Amino acid sequence: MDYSFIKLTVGLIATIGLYSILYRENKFYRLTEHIFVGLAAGWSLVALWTVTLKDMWWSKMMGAEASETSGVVAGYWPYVFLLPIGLMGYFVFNRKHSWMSRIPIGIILGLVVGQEAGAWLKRDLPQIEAAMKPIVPNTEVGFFVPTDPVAGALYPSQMLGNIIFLTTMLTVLSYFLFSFDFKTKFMQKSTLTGRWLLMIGFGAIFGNTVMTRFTLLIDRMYFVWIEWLIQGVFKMG
Amino acid sequence: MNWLFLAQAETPEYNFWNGAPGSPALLTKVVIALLVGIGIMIALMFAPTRLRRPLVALATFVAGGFWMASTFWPTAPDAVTEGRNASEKVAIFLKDVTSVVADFSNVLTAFLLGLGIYSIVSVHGKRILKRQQDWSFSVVLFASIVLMAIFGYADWMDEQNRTAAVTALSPGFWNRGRDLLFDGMLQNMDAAMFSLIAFFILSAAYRAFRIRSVESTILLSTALIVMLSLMGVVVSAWDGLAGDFAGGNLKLSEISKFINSNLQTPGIQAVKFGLGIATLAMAMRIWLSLERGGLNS
Amino acid sequence: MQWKDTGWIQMVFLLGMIFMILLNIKRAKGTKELYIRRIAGLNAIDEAIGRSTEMGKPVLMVPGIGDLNAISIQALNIFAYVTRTAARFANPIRICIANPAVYTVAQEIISDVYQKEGLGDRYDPDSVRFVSDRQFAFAAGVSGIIHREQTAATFFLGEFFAESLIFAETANSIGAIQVASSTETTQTPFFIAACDYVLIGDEFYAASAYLSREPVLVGSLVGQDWCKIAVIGLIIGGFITNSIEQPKMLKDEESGKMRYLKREERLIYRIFHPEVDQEKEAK
Repeated sequence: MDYSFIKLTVGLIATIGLYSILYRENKFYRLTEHIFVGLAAGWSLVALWTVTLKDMWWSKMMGAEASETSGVVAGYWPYVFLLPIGLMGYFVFNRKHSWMSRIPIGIILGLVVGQEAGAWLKRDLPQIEAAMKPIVPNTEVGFFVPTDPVAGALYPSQMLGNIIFLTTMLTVLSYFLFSFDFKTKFMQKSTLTGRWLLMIGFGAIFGNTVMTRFTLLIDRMYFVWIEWLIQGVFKMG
Repeated sequence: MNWLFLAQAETPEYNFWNGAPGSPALLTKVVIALLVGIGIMIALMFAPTRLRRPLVALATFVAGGFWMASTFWPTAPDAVTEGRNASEKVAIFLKDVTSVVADFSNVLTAFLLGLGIYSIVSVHGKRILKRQQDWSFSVVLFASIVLMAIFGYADWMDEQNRTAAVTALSPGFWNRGRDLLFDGMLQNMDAAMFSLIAFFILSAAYRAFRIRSVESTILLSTALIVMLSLMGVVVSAWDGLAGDFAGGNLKLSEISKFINSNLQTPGIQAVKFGLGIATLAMAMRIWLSLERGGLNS
Repeated sequence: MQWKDTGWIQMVFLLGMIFMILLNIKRAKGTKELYIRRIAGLNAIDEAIGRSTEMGKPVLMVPGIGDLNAISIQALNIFAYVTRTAARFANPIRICIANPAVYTVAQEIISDVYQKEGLGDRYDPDSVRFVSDRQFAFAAGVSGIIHREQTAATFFLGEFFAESLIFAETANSIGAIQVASSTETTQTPFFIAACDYVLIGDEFYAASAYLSREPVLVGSLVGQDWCKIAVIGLIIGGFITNSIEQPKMLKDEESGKMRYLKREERLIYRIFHPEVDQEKEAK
């Protein structure tokens, strides 16, 4: 038995083990699950140094000698301060000093939430601009968009699309106003319409995702039937 | 001039903040700084209670302040090389700081991984010691951690001394082991778990179908239309029937495109606007330590 | 000196939003009885905990699989509320976590809840668990816990990705009552299909204000509503401006024929892309 077949078989057993949960929780699943979690934790320990700490911390602190691809990189000693800051997290189980774990947490949180304002500008603002769709059609150009449309023109059929776009966006936004007690019929209708239109949106996501998820299942079936059974066991293909 | 001591310049100019790799001067500085850091940590252990909250608030504020400043400070034009004014110097300084600070949260989270591992050891260790139900599985879990860690590191150290081409020709014991555990098992388990979702999606859809509320009907019928529009056979049959009627807009692909761009996009984007504003508000509350309950209780 | 990518109007708008949020936080301090509309999923929290108390089964909580950020903190804030109620009824809890930093915060917050309730001796540090930081290993581990401990109530609140449906369907298969929310809008439809109660979008963020009625949070919520109205106003102003410009025609410099405006010639585009103006000035 060659190595690649052993590797395939191990993968097959693991796959069946995890799939067995579809029938019910059982010892085979439990075994696979514990191996899975264990291997993942082991790998995290490996990646901790080889991926994160060595490149993002150690090499920057200690510098690097000249290599084929780069010159000498100086080491910057202030990076070492991150170690005691990180270690303060370990006080979390000490009743008296557990507050100290909030210092690294506060720093991580500060670094993350400080980026939020900038992120809003980059993420949401362009979308606000994209939502500002015109709704006055250029009537002289026909109703539907022809195969060779006039540049910059808005066709009445597109106008209808834009009106639906804006209605959806504004009613959904009105649904997410929490602090107003809407007494008027119009606003109550608006929030309800918003919720229903939102369900269309969620439905579309559902539909779009189903196909990609089945692609994954087909991939797995390919692994079991073609790679393992036909190419591995029967040595065909 | 390098405006930030921590920024990595192309050819290093050695100064107080750095040193040549492997040099005794750098090592000394690192050790002294580490001792100072540990000293500060010990001093904090004796910090009076009333100082605790302000200290945490200060740490959060300063850490977030870098990013807030770099967001709101006007950027300096790239082209100019000489004659920077004070505002532009600050802008360059902030750009340097943020590039250095960018990795800090990852590094700090990495230092905390030990706590996560401690949690796993604690839960499963107690199970083994007390011979609780399923304790034998916990033994398997520990064995998996140890095996993966040993093979992972051994292979990594091996790789430091050889090129990928050599490994491909004669993999060696450690590489084979790592390959079996990582590529053979872990990656396949990921793929298996991911593909399970296909089954769950069917059962979820079936249940939602049976609820028969207005909302689930809207959701599922839209899902059905979009799904059909992704199936080649159905699309060609439908589109053949629809033809060019109503400007070709009754074709399944056109209907689905219409749903996606005029209903899905604005609806979901409106949700995201709400989320974006709420995240911004939450971020400001955390940055300024205004949150009550939970974190700042 | 310039705001090259954004332009000053955008900066002013962003600062205005932050100002509205902070202003309302200040305004709300000291006032009570600010209105918040009913959020269905949140009324279900007590019902869910009540049921798990009756059955004597644990309450399971997962704050998503994201890093330590505003989202995971918000999830833990809601879980602090759930834990408080569960602790009073001596109900066991399980919080499964996928990030070591989030795990550290959760330990601190949850043990604090027990201390504050004077129930420190009931707190088991192992009830807050780090399961795995690998997405699907975490999914497998949590599924196992749901099955073996037969959790009666489950709360999936936070940043969930593809694994959302694995959790929701697994918990559903053992008949657990489920409250869920994902800040990833791509996952919300699956929670809607599989869970009993779903918090959509920023209902997730409104939850802590709704549950605690804390002035800071309620004030912030009011401020957020002001921001949303500002965004609505901006969009309305924008589509009207674009509509007015839509019929406009001008003479094309190259061909000499009349044509409609190009996208980059419109007022709204120029406001949002100030660097275009700078390029012109440079020419």
